[in-house]
Amino acid sequence: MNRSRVLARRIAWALFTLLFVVVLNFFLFRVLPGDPARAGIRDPRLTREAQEAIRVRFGLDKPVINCFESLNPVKLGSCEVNPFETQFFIYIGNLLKGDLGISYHLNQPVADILRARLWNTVLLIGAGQILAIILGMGLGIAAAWKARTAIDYLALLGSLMAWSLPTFWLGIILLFWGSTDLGLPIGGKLTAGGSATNMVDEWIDLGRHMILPTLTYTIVFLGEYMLIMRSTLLDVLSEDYILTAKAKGLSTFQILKDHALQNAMLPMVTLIALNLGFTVAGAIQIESVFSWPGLGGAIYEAVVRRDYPMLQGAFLWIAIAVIAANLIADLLYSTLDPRVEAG
Amino acid sequence: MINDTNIPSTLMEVNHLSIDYVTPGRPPAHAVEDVTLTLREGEVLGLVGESGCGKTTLMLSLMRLLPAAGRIVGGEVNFMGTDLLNLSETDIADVRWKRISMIFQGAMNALNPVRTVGDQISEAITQHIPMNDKTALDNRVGELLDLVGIAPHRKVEYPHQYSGGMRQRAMIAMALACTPQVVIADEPTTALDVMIQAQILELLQTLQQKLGLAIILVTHDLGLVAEMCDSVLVMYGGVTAEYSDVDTIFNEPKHPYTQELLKAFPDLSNPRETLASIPGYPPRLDALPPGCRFAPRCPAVFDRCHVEQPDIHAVTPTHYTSCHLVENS
Ligand SMILES: Nc1ncnc2c1ncn2[C@@H]1O[C@H](COP(=O)(O)OP(=O)(O)OP(=O)(O)O)[C@@H](O)[C@H]1O
Ligand SMILES: [Mg+2]
Repeated sequence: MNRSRVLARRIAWALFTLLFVVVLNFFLFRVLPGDPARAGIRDPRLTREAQEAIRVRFGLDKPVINCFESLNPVKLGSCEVNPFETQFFIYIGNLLKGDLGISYHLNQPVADILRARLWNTVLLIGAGQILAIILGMGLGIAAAWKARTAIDYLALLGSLMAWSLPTFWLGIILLFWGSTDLGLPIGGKLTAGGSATNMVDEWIDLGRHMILPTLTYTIVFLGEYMLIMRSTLLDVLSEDYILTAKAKGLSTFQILKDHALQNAMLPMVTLIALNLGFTVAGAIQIESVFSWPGLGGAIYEAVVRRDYPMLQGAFLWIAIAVIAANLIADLLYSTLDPRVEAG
Repeated sequence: MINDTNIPSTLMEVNHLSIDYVTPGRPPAHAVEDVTLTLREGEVLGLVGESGCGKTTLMLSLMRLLPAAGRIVGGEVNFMGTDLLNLSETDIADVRWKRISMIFQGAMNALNPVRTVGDQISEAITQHIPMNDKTALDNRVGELLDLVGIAPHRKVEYPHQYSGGMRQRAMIAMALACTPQVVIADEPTTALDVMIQAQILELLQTLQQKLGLAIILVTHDLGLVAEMCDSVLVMYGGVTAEYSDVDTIFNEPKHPYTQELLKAFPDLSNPRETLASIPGYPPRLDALPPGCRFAPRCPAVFDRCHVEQPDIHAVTPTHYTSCHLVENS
């Protein structure tokens, strides 16, 4: 049918949103007060020449955009300048080349720093989310299937507790327990000055470092998935078509598998996508408890140091992740629910 | 019980069936009490009674589909020689749809929105009849849809792409998928407009005659009962008020409730006659009156009705009613 048209429309919307975010992201950071010469590098001993050299290095000597020399404070400028000589188009041009500018603080390309950090976050969150989704949904299904039995009440109690635990506190408790009783590393991604001599040892070392933060992350998210899965599944199980399925002679297992789950997955897909998108920002608390070198830590540091290019780059990544997750959720939703196509 | 013994054989015998709804912390609601009925091959049985008198409850219990709160507290459902109430979960699953299928009240949401109509009909077939040949299965689904007046190529569509009447007809097609002996139609046309109602009922009637189905038709429409049914069970507040063949019910009703119902039914031959309605409300099932359940509203009530519950009494071998008046005469 018109599936491909729906697909095209969804992708176009995502791209449009992305464009909007890119533009917003640029102006947001020009409207904020300060440039590195004043805010980023607050060293009174810098000479005027040195400050000027810094402005040139970060491209801040150019007008922000045609007609505007700068936006904070607002300073009008010539409208005749070559647009490609303005900060805005240089920023866009650099973006297209994958260049996110240079970190004020670390003096390295933002894209390089973020890339390494992003993969660490994806690794941690990916593992945590996958575990939380599998366990949470599994528990939710079991609880709904055995609704109002001991299994249900236990799962419910456990999930409510997991959901209400403060992340930071849970992290510290697990860290304490894991590092003393289990001898797991207390933080970081790899053992410093690594003794690992081959790939396998390195992977094992990474795995040992991941256990505690992943466990924390899983517990924090598992409760939410379980509770939502259970309640949507219970709603679905009270629908008329479930009675039809039962009347047709289907077993409880068949009813769950062939009729209930697909319907119950609809709200879950949205929830998972939103969670995934936003948590690329890094589980800031978990990353800081376990000194995990992820995006969350990078953002925290950039805020403290007023490292605008870093923040700008990180925001862009987060926006891309959220938009992509939503796009995937939309597409998945329309394959799960035939009614979406009509609308 | 309707005809003389030699003609069609008995399919289903419901004996003294009673059903409670239990809610924790409340007295049980006696939704159905001591209902006995017989269904023969090819017979159309009408089940009538006010809203809330237990019609759906009774029908669901025949397939053991009661909601969690529903408990069968007594009686038996004898279907072709076996008591359905004693079957294991897997055995009753084999009876469902293959032997007895059901068109649900408000079947508007009875189809799964995320699977195609054809797929759901195929599922009903393959659940009971092993079919390895994909084309044979497809053909059978097309045939069933054709039977209810839906173009076979629309089997790939989803329920939301069907109109309300089409969904109802698709449900009928599905109900016929395994050629069951009994189809239970619980108000199959409520929520549909009059034209579609007529179409669907006509369809049911044609199919019933063509396939020789036995149908239990739950309805509020006495005109429909007169037109389609062979026998009628009138329920009041969970009990049998009167049970007989259609002519007896319409011409010689014995129970005051049946008489009132018939008065409430506009007589087409005499349109001037004003429509009577029965004053009062049906009894609360968790706080039943000690005597006859109809006593508080009965125009012919007398002392005994308030203290003693009437037994089911045979007026003739094919006419049953539960009323002290009849016992007395
Ligand atoms: N799940 C339930 N729990 C408790 N009580 C119920 C439940 N379902 C139905 N009842 C009660 O049982 C009685 C019979 O309900 P039922 O649905 O069988 O009536 P009905 O004759 O089919 O009515 P209608 O004509 O409106 O469909 C009603 O009083 C109703 O309140
Ligand atoms: Mg009903």
